[in-house]
Amino acid sequence: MKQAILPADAANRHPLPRGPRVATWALLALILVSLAGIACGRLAKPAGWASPVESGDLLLIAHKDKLFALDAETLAPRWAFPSEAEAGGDNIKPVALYGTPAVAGDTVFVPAYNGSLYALDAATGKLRWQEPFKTGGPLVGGVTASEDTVYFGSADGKVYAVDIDSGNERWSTRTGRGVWSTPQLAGTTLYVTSLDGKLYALATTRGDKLWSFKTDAGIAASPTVDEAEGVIYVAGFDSKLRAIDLETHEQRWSITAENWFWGQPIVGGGVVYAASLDNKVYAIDTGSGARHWSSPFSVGAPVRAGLALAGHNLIAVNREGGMYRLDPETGEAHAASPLVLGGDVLADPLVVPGDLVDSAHVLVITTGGELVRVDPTTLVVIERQKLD
Amino acid sequence: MDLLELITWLWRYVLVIPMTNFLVLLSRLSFGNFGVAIILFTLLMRGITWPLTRQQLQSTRAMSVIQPRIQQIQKQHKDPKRRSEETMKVYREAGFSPLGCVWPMLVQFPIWIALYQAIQFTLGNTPENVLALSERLYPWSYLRNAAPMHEEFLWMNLAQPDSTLIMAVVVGASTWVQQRMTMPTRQVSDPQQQSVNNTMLWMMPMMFAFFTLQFPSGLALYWVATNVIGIVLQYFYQGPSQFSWRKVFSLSPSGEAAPRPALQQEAASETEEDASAGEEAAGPAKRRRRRRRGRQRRR
Repeated sequence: MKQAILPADAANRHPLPRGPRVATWALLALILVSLAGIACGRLAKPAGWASPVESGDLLLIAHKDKLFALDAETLAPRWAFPSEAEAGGDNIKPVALYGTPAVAGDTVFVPAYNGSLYALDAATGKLRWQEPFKTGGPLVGGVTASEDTVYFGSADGKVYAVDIDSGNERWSTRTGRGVWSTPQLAGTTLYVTSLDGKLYALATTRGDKLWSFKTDAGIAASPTVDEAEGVIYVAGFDSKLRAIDLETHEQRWSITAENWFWGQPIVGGGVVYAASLDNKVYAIDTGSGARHWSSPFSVGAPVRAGLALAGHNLIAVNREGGMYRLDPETGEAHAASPLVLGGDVLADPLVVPGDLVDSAHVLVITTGGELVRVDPTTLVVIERQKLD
Repeated sequence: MDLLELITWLWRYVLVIPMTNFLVLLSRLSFGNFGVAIILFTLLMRGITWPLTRQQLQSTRAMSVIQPRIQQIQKQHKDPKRRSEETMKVYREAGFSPLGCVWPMLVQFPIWIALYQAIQFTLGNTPENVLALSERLYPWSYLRNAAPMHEEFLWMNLAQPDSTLIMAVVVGASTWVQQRMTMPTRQVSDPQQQSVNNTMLWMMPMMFAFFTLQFPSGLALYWVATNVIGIVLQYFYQGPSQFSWRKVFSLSPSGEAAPRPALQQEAASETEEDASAGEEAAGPAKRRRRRRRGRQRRR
């Protein structure tokens, strides 16, 4: 900082060197105004991108720091968390909701960016536990529920197992860095990825580390377990999609994209699909690791959200809200242009199955808080609803 | 592309994004320690801007030397025009350019703002910020694999303001010391000038200390590092033998106690000597001789 010269310069109060004097004071004013402007800017606030969840006749949609429970058929509102009274009186401030909520029985588990896990009555939205379960860091990943336990990771680097009824901790296991993904349960093993770049296999009984696999960079995407193939797919910030053998714990194959993977890979018909922030969707044969399509499909913008398979349609939504319907076999788009949803999309789309094979529909929530129901066979918008 | 778009483009692609990538690179080279990366970055920036810093230090020293003559001119000439002419003459003779003091700072200023943005982009620990970083990193796996960055350094989270107040105090103190070191070393006769000096001496450190409470502590770390480097440079440029910490920490604004009436005469004669020497920007040998003569006269 060289402002120290200013006093010396300013001290010479004589008319002729007015230019330098004016320049000095103008500079000082510029510093003040700019620093004030920067101070007002601050760091970007977390906004959340939790995906919609359907459970029975209940549809759970998160937007920013609020969870809305809607009627799955009519989209009529049932309750919201936190309610007006809770947000004011009980001072519940989730800050933002990134992790997908989970429903176990008649309880909804909501992971919040304030580091707390809330248990709510699915019918009323009222708090179930005396106190939320608090962790030492924001909750970005979602929750996985078993019969009596919920599992989730925290940015404090730990994976937690919490008793569903009491809200008490059963165990916690530390990873090398924050956990931003949703743990995946397969039998008695819990698979979780961490920003330390590792995939961990933990015993559900006590959280013991059974084995781990190290990648080249942090992992924010949830892993996908393919028990039929005996592999787990991991996609991370090293821009690689890997298939790791569940028996040998060795890598079977990997493919490299041109940017990070953030969305969870999905598996269908012997093919694993993953979208990258390099604007492309990849399809890889699960057995061989060979490209299933002749070339990755370009969606024109980065894809943060996961993909969705709805019948014979692969749905990809890019960050700018462009929705594509692809043929999962050939990787060709069914329409020349995407459906424009009218807002950025970071949350995973939800496929709500219908009575018939092709009667499913897809729900997408935009960052602006608009819930869009789309027919995946035609990419026609069925319904839009603004959440507030 | 209009002018505003061009400026925005240049700002983003010529300054902020390269700086962001450079910081990430330094962080990887320092084993993921972003605090060390900021200190290395500061050292490099000070190295690059060394010609400007040297120019500023020269101007500061020249200003210090000609200060008595400027004061004399202010006393002697009541006519503003004449006073200005005489002042500029002294400036020319001493090879001093007041603007030369300002523009090194103008170069540093965009660096602060760009660094602030680069730190935000790089260390922003919300998922949205990390997502945005993916678009700003160059397509080089060595850089891309570094994300998300480790934001911890010592007791600080470099992405957040330091809540302990330690950095605010350190930023304020180091700014004050550096400012104090570059202030004129002689008493300013004009009370109004003295007041301006005093205000500036305290206002800038307080302002930066205040902003430290608002900004990510990574930026505060940059300020502290750049101040410390500035103090070291000033110390060695001035010459350890010429430098007095006592003078720096003296609460008297000029660094010297206000001259007692009995000593004013001597001080004036010394001032005259300095003034005559100002135009030749006296070398160390001449300065030593003058000091010796002054001491003999006092005896």
